[in-house]
Amino acid sequence: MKIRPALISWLQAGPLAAILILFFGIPVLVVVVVSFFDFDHSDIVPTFILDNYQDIFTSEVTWRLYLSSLKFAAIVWAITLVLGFTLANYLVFHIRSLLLKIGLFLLCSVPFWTSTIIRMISWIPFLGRNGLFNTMLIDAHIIDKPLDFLLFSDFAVVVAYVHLFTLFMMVPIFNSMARIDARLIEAAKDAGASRWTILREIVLPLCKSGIALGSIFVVTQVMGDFFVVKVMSGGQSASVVSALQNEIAALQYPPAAASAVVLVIVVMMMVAGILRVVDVRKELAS
Amino acid sequence: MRNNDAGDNEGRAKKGAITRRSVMKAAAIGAGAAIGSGAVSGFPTIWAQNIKDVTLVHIGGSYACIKEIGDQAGKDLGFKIEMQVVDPSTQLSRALTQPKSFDINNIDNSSVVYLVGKNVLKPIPVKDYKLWDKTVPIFTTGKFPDGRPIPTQGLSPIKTGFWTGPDAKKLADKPTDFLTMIPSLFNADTLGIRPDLVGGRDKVTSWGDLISPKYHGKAALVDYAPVGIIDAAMALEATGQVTYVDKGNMTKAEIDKTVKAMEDLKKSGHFRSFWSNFDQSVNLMASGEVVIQSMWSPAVTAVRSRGIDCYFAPLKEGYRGWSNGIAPMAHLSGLREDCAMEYLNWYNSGWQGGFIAKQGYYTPVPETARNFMTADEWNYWYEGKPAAVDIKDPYGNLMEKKGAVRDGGSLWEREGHVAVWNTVMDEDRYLTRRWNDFVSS
Amino acid sequence: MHNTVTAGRPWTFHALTLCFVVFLAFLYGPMVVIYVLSFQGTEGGLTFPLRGFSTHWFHELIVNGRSGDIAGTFTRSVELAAVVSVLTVVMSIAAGLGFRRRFRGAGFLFYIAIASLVMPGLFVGLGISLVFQLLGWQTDWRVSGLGAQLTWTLPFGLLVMFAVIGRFNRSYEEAASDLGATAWQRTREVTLPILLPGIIGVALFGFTLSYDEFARTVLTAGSQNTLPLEIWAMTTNVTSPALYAVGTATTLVSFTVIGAALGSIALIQRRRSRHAASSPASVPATAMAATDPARSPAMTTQTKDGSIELVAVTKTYTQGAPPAVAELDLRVGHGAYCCLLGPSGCGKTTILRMIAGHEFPTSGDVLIGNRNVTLLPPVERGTAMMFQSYALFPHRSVIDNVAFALKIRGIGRDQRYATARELLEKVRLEAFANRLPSELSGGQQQRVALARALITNPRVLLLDEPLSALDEFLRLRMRGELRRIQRELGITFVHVTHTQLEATAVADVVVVMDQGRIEQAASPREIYLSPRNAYVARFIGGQNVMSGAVERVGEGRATLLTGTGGRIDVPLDGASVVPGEMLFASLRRDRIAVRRPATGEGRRDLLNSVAGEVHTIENQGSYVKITIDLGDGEEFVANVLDEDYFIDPIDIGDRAVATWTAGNMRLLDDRSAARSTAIRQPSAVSV
Repeated sequence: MKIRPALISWLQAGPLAAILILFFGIPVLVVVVVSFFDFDHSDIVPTFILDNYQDIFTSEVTWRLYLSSLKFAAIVWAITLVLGFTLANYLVFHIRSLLLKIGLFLLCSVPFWTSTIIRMISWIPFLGRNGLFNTMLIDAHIIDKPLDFLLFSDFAVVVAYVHLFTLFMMVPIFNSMARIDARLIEAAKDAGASRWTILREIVLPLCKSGIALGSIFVVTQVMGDFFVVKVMSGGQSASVVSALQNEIAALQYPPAAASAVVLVIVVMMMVAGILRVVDVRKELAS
Repeated sequence: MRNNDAGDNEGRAKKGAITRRSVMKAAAIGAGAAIGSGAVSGFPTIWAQNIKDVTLVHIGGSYACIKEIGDQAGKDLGFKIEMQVVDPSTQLSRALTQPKSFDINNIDNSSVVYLVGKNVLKPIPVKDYKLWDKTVPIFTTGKFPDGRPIPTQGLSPIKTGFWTGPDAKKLADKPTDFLTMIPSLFNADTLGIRPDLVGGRDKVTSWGDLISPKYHGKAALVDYAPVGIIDAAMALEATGQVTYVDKGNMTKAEIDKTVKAMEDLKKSGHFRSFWSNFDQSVNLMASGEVVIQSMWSPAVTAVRSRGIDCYFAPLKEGYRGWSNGIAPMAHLSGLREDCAMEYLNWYNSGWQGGFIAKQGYYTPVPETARNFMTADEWNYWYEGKPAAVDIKDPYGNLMEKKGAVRDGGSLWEREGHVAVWNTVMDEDRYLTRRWNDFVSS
Repeated sequence: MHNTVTAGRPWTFHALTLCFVVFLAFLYGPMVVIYVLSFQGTEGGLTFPLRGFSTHWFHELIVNGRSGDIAGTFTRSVELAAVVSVLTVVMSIAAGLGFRRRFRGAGFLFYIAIASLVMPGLFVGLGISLVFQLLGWQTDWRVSGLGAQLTWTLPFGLLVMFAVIGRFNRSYEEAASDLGATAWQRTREVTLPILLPGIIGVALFGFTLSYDEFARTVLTAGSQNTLPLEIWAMTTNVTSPALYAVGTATTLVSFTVIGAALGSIALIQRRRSRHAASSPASVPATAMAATDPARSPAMTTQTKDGSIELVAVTKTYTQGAPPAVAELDLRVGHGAYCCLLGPSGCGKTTILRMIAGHEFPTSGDVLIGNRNVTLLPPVERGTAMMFQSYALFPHRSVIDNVAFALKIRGIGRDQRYATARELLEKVRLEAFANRLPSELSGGQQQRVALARALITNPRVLLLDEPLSALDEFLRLRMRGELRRIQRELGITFVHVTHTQLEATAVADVVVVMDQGRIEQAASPREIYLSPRNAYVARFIGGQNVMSGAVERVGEGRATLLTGTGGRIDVPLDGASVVPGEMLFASLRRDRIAVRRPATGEGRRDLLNSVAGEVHTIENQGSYVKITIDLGDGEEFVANVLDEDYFIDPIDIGDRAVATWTAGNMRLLDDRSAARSTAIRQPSAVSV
C-alpha cells in the first residue's frame, strides 16, 4: 500500500503542529481577544473596545519604547553578526583538529548553563563605579575618576546582550560554514581570489541561511527582552516588553495584551523582512 | 462531592474539630493569660486520623514566607506547610489565573483590591480568629494605641481589612465581622542612607533629601510604580514642588506633575539607578554607587551585616507604612479548610512573631511574640532601647553589636509616625502608563 | 591553548586567535569575578580587593538550604530541560523531514512556528495560564510548563533541522532503500546518524534554552518552582554572594556534565575503533565459498531474469510543463549492457530512477523480468543503483558500507563481513576495509559504491554517470573494469552517460536520447554505421550531416543540390522521395579523401565532393582531423589516415577538395525541415 506523500508529511509535522496549536495558537487567540477587553483593577471586562490600541498608537511613549528597542536590536545585531561570523570562521576554517574544535565550542557554551539572572548580575561587580574594571584602570593610572557610563547605562545593556546572544548567532553560522565544501575554497584560491574575496564571494553567500537564523534569534530575543534592559540600565532605559511587564505586574492584562499583539506584528514584519532577503525555507529545502 | 470515603472522613473530622475548638474557646475565655504565658500552646486542635496527609501550600514574598516558620507550624499542628517563595506580581497573577495552585495567600494588604470580587479568597469570620482582641488597634479599630486615628492616605489596614459580608464581594470601609485576611506583619519604611558617605546620620532628615542636588548621581528609587510614586511624592511634597490632596490616591493631574518633575530629575542624571529587587538595592548601597535611596528594612540590615554603615533614616515627614496578611484560598473545604483556619490561628500565636521580629518586622500581636523573644531582644526590637547584648538574626548570625539602637526607635515611635500607606490608586492604569513614560524618558 | 606558533600560518590566523581569546575573556571575565566573589567573607561590599575568604555562602546554600531550595529546583529544571530537549529533537526531526515535501498548510505551519518564536515569553505563559484557567485545569511544570518551553524550542529545532536536512543528500536514503532497508531501518541506520551533528545541536540548544527559561515558566510552572524561578525569588531576599555561590555551583555541575559527556564519547570511540581493528581481517576460504554473493541464501528469492521493459512511460514533474519523459517504449534484454546516452536534461536519469523505483511514472509501466514493478519499492525490484556521487554513507567504514544491505537483512557480522570482503577483493579494495569513505580517492570510492551495489546480488545494476567524477586515466580503466564485471556477473547493466565514447566503448545497446524521447536504440556499431537522424549522427560523432533539395531520383539513389551549390548522391535504400524535397544525409568522416584542388579546377564542386578553405588541422596520432569551411555554417570534417595526409601535408588556409563515394552516404529520417533543425518523431524501438 502506498501512502500519499502529503499525508506522510502531515504525520511527520503533526506532533509539532499539535503542540504549537495547543500551547501557542489557542493561548494567543485568547490574548488577542483579551486585547479588546476593558478592565478595572484586575477585573477583565468582556466587551469590545479599541481603547487599548488607541492608547498605544496615540501615546508618545510607544514610539520612544520602540525606538529604544529597535536601537538595541540594531546595535546588538550588528555586533553579534560580526563577532559570530568571525568566531565561526575561525573555528571552521582555522582550527584543523576536530577535537579542539568541539572543545573550543563547548568552552564557549559553558557560561550559558549558568542562570541568566546570575550572569547578568555578574557584570555589576565588574563594571561598577568601584568595580574591578574601574579599579584596574585607576590603579594603572589610565583614569583618575571612575567611569560611570560602564554600568547602569545603554552601554551596559549592549554589553550584556552581546554576552548573552553572540553564541546564538555563532552556532547557526558555524553550522552552515561547516557544510561549505572545502574544494570550493580551494577552487577560489586557484582562481587567484584573496582571503577577503573568498570570504565575501564564497563564504558569506553560502552562510546566508545561518546568518538569517542567527539574526532571527538575536532580533526576536532583544525585541522580547525586559529583564536585561531593566537590570543593566539600572532602570534608566526601557524596552517595549519592560513596559508591558509593568502592565502585567499591575495586572492590567488587556492593555498588556494589546501591546503584545502590536509587538508581535512588528517583530513578525522584521522576521519576514529577514526571510525575504534569505528565504530560509527555500534555501534549505532545495 | 461527599459520597466517597475521603468525604466521610472529612465530615467526621469536621465534627471532631468543632467539638475540640469549642472546648478551646472556652478555655481561652477562661484563661487568656495562660495562652499569653506561652506555657500552653494549645495545638494541635484537630485530631483527625488523616491529618498528617494534609499539605497546605503557603505562597508569598521571601521576607515573610520562611521555611522555618512552615516547619515549626508542621511540628505544632501535625500537618505539613509547604512554603513557596514567589515574586509579588507572579503571586497575584497566580492568585487570579491559578487560584487552586496554592492554599494560603500571603500578600501585601494593598494587593487585596486586585482580588475583590474574584471569589479567590475565603472570608474569615472574626469569631473564628482567636487573637483578634490582642491585635494592635491599627488593624482592629483604625487607631493608634494613643487614640489618634491612623492616617488615611493610601490603603490603610482598615480600608482593606474587611469584607462587607460573608459573600466577600466588596471591601468595607470600616470594621465588620469578616476579615479579608489575618494581619501577619507590618512595618514602616523610609529612606536608606550611607552615613559615612553623606557626612553623618543627622545629615538626612527629610524626604526632600532624596532629590537634593547634594546627592546628584548618587540617588536611587525603587522601580515599582505603586511604591516608587509614593516615595517620589513624599520627596516632592517635602520640597514644596508639588502638593497633594491624597498622596495615596492621586488625581491624574497630580500623577502628571509628579512624573514630570521626576523626568526632569532623571534627565539631569540625578538618579544613578532604579532597582527592582532586594539584591539590587543591597548592592547599590554596599558598593557605594548610591548613598540615598528607597529601601526595605532587611536590605538596610543586609548592608549593615557586611560591616558597612547603613541607616534607615527617620524623617520628619513620617514613614510609608505597610502591612501584610495571610488568607485562605476560596477553594479550600472540609478538613483542609479546618487545617487552614488552624494554621491562621497558630500563625500569630507567637513563634512566627518572635522569628520575624529578629528580622526587623513587627507582628500585629506583639504580646504573643514576646514569649518567644528574650527580654533583651524585645527591648531592642520593640522598645527601641540600646542593645544590652549582641543582637543576632533568627539563624544566629550577628546583626548588631551590643549598644546599638534601632533606627527610628520603638514600635510606636516608628509606626506612630506613618504618613501614608502602600497603595493601589484608582488611577492605577494611568499611573502605570505614566510610570512607563518616566522609565523610558 | 592554541599559542603554539605553527610555521606557515598566515597572520590572519593569529589575528583571529587573538579575537577568539578576547571573546573568551569577555565571556568568562565577569563569570570569573563571581566565582571569586562567591568565596568572599560576609563582610564588605562587592568591591575589590576582597575582604577575607570563606565558604559561608556555599554553606548557607547547600548545608542550610536557607537561600532557597536550590537542589530540588535544580533537579526539576534539569528534568524539564531534558524532556524538552528530547521532545524538541524528536518532533523537529520528524517535522523537518515532513517539510521536505510541499504539502497543504506547510506555509501556515511555518509562520505559526515563527510567530511562536517571536511572541514575548511572558505572554505565551500568560496565555497558557488563562487557557488552563478557562478549562479548569491546574498548571503544572510537567504539562503547561513543558508546553510553554516547547513553544520556542520547537521553532528553533525546526529551523536548525531545515538547515541540516536541507543539505542532506537524498541519494543516501535512496541508496539505503536500494539495499533493502525499510523506512524505519533507513531512518535508523542512515538518516539519523548522518543528521547526528544537527540532532546534537538541537538537543543542546533545547536544553540550554529551556533549562534557564524564566518568562514562559513563571505563570505555567504551577505550584512548584524551577531553578530560574527560585533564583528570581531569591533575588528578593538574599544578597549577591549567595547568588554567586549558586552560579559557581551550577558552573561546576556544567563542567562536570560536559566532562563526563566528552569522556564517555571518547571512551565509546576508542572501544569502537578497537572493535573495528579486531574484526576478522581474513576469512577462511571455506567461509568465503559459502558466502559467495551469487549463492548467498538471502539473495535467492529473486528470479534471475534481468530484462527490462518500459511501456509508454511518461513522467511529468510539473503540471503543464513539458514532460521529462514522454510516451517512451524501451526493451533491454537480460544480461545486456545498455547505455542511456544524451545531453543533460534529456531524461536519461529520470528513466534510470524510474527503473530503480526512486521515481514513479506519471503513466505507463515498468517491467523487470516480465513482472510489472511500476509501483514496487526499490528493494523488491532486484535492482541496485550506483549513484553519481556514490552516496557512500560518510559515517560508516568501507566494509560497513559494503555490508550494509546484509546488515539490513539481519545477517550476522562475521558472515556479512566475509561476503563484503570478497566483494572488496573483486574491486581490489580489501586493504581499505576499515577506512572511512572520505579517506579514499575518487576511483576507490567508486569501486566501493560498486561493491556495495553488488552485494544484494541484483539482476539489474543501474549506474548513474558512474565515471563522471573520475580523471581521464581512471575513467578509461574503470570503464573496462565495469564491462569485465558485467560480463562476469551476467546481469543487466543500465548505465547513464553523456559521453558517446564511454557508451560505445562498453555497451551492447546504446540508447540515444533527446528531450525525453529515444532517438535511436541500437548496438554501437549500428548506430555508428547508420544513425537514424541528424541528431543522432551529430551526437554520436564521426559523421558529417549534409542536406539538400532532391534534384533527381533514379537507380535507387537521389541527387541532392546542397546550399553551397554542390551535388551529392544519396542511396535511398527503398525510401521514396519526391523531387524538391529537402533531405538529410550523413557521411562517415573516415571515408573521405582530401586533396589539393587540381589546377584549373573551379570553385564549383564536382559530384560527391566539396571544396573550401582548411579551417583547422588536428593530428590525432593514427589519423589527422581536417576541418573544411564550406561557407554554409555546417561543420565539415574529414579524418584522413596519417600516412595519406603526410604524403602532401595540406595546411590551414589552403584550399582543399574532399571527395567520397556515394555508398558511404546514409539517408537520415529528417526531411523537409529547415536546415539544422531535426524533426523528431516518437520512436518505438525494439532491440
